Amino acid sequence: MSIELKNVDYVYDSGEPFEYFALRGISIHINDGAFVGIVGRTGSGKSTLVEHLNGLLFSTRGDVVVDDEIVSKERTVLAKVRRKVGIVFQYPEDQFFAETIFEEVAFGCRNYGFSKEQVDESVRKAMNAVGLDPERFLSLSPFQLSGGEQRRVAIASVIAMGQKYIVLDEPTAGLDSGSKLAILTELESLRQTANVTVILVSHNMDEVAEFCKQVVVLDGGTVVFQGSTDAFFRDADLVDRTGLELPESYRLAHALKECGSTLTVNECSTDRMLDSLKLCVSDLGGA
Amino acid sequence: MIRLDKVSYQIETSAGPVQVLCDIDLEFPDGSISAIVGPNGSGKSTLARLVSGLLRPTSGSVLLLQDGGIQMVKDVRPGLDVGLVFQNPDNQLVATTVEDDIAFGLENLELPHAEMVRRVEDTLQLLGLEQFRDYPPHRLSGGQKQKVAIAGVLAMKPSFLILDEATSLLDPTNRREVMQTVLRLNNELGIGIVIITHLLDEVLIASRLGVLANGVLAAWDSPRAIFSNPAVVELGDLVLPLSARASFVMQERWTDFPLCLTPEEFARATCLLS
Repeated sequence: MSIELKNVDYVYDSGEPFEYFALRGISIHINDGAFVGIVGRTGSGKSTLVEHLNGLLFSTRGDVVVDDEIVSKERTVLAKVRRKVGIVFQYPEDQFFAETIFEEVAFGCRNYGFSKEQVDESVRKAMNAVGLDPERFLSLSPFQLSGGEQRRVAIASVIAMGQKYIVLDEPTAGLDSGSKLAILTELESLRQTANVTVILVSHNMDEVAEFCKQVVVLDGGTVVFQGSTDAFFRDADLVDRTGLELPESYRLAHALKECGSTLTVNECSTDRMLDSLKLCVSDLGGA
Repeated sequence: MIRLDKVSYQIETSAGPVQVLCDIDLEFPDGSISAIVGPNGSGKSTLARLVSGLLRPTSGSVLLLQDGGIQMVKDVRPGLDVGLVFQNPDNQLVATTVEDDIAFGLENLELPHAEMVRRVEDTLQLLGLEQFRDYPPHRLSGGQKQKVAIAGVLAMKPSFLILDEATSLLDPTNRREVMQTVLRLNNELGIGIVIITHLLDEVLIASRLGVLANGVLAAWDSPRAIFSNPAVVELGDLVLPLSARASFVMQERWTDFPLCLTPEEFARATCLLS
């Protein structure tokens, strides 16, 4: 089971003065249970791409396949696909409309015909998954929360529907570091415990390096890299050409090498880097 | 200079009044670059709205002090004196084309047409948006919209520019470009900058860093001094740069190893060891 895009093109306003090729020949494969990053410069097609994954946009050419089902405008197919793929948009809290957080988070579940008990249970579970205590929050208005809390409620309202693929378009933009880390850690644990596939659109290379095992890199509407995140960040030229930047751990390893330091560090993640640095330092201490 | 004198801001909720900001004393000197950090809900955006005159403090005052022989103290005029760029560009884009959107604020200033055209042109160029001039803003990507939002405010040539996480949707290259543009405006035109951010590289360009926690100004100092103070780092929900954490590892062995804030500083410091 997987999500696959086969040679997908998408053209905005085809045949009109503002015709714009947003995606060209996109072929990607996202396996079940993966934590995949989608990165690329502003306007490279990231948001357009993810809107194909649950039939908000339909490819101009090529197929989008979700678990062997080709996404099409056909109602039964769309219903099935949307039941599987949930999307959290940029600044999702702007879509709040309900009077209480409970109503906000329950809205999607009710649309899917959950029973009253199922709605209750899903809402509570989702709130816990994003680190908000249901007892304290469910009766409050979503509009009286801080930005970080609002974002988490918005994410909970998608998680509550229990889809197996969750796509998040810049879910941590504008959040403080504590909320960022908490949200990504919760998503990772959801992936491990419920085998949810997480697809993360992000401009934050530090968080991509930390959480995404694989990465899809877009530039000018085409895929210029897909594979292991570490392999991508080791290609500093490609990172630069695609308008991105190296995570701090890679920059640090790079800077050390540049100035001929004897310290060698593992750049894959911040924890590994600090551990390897400690080892290095204690080795030097013994010498 | 913008001066905040004992500024407090309170909102009424169903559960009673909530103190969002409490007794904030701050000065943003003309032409300076300052940054404000703090967890979500600490009052950063409220502070931005108070400083730009969109909100009035419940008590205390926000003053703009300009010297032209005699120091003049008056209420801040939104837009003209202090320009604010919001977090979410969708909240401030109004027109049907990028060009018109940038001109919107200028029209409200009742500038002569020729001056308006010139400023729109300059700003499009400054932010590299020429190719999008005729585009409907809603057709742009999140990051491109953010640039348009910044352009609309810059065109008004405010003496202070407040960026409330205004680059959060931009890719690293574009963010660097926008920040360089902002630095240039600061350098060449002397526009004072206040950056509200969670991003480390934006904090590091500021000469003064304010840390808000629970509506109180917990610290106001140079970024380096703030990063050297673990209690303040925690209060402000600042993530230490990896280079700083690496410096602490080094300090366990070499006690005089300096606190480094960037990989380059760190590499230089380690090379001085051997």
